[in-house]
Amino acid sequence: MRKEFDDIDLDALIEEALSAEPVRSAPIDFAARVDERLRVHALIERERARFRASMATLAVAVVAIIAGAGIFVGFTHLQSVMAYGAPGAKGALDYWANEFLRVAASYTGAYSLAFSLLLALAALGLVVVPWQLRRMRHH
Amino acid sequence: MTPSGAAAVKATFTGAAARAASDLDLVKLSKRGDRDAFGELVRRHQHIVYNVSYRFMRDSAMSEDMAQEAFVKAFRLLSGFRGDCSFSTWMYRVTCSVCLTELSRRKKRGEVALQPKHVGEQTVQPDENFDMPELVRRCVNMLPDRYATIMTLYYLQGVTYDEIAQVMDIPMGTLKTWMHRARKQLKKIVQKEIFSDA
Repeated sequence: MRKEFDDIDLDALIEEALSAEPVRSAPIDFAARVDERLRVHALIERERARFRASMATLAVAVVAIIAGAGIFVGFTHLQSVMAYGAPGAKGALDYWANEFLRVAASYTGAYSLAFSLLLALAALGLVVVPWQLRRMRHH
Repeated sequence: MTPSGAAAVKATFTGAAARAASDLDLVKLSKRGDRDAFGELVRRHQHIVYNVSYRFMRDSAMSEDMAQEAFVKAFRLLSGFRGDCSFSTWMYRVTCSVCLTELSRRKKRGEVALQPKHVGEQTVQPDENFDMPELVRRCVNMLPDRYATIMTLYYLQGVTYDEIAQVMDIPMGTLKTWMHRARKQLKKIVQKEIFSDA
């Protein structure tokens, strides 16, 4: 048996086997299936973008809450809260609110400048938010 | 194609217009997310991609899956296609990469039986069930990736040496050296597979 195979010209055998391999046709519905896969892929990408946006929002919310809590504690003096409970904290907040109102009441600066800045910020928000939403939809 | 040219193709993108558009025009439209244009590219290149995939996977279902995967990957990576080679050449590269990645993944998981089933003392006999050409073809996948790729592409009808060199991104001299080494190595593997238990 070994001799039988020794007699074979391996180079010719390899050449023949590889070059004579028949060319196959792709399945008839191949293109349709690829299109379906692309559709699914697009949906996955869109969901992924949504998920990223949700997670980013969540992260911002968590940071904002922690920062808010930090600022609250900072302004109300933790030791007052610990010593006098909620009324103590409220008293500290009243103090800060009165301080702010006192400064605001005596403000004689350029109101129109402050208003313009607020308007510019709002306009920027109006451009950025729809643009972000559009980007998410396309992803 | 100019943007207005692309728009013209897009505006009348049905039937004959789609078939008349060149691969590069279709690529430009596909880059903008036009799935119809990409669909035409798929129809044009599906057979060759399927054949490349089949020669790596040696199984109809798996090769169809890999060919589809190659097109999906191509659609995703289309922005990286600069047009410095033909779309078909670029597709060969993507398909080979997808198939080799899958084969190596399966190999790592122990899912690929690279040893041909009929190699063994009892089955080495050249009986009517012994498919020698198929054994040789399977041996190509036992070569290192780069050699398997060039051998697979070389024996595909219509793929030139130039295209293979472009796919592999190597000079012609290197390709010829690799071909020589691949043949030598393949011969050793085939010999080993046939005579291992004889």
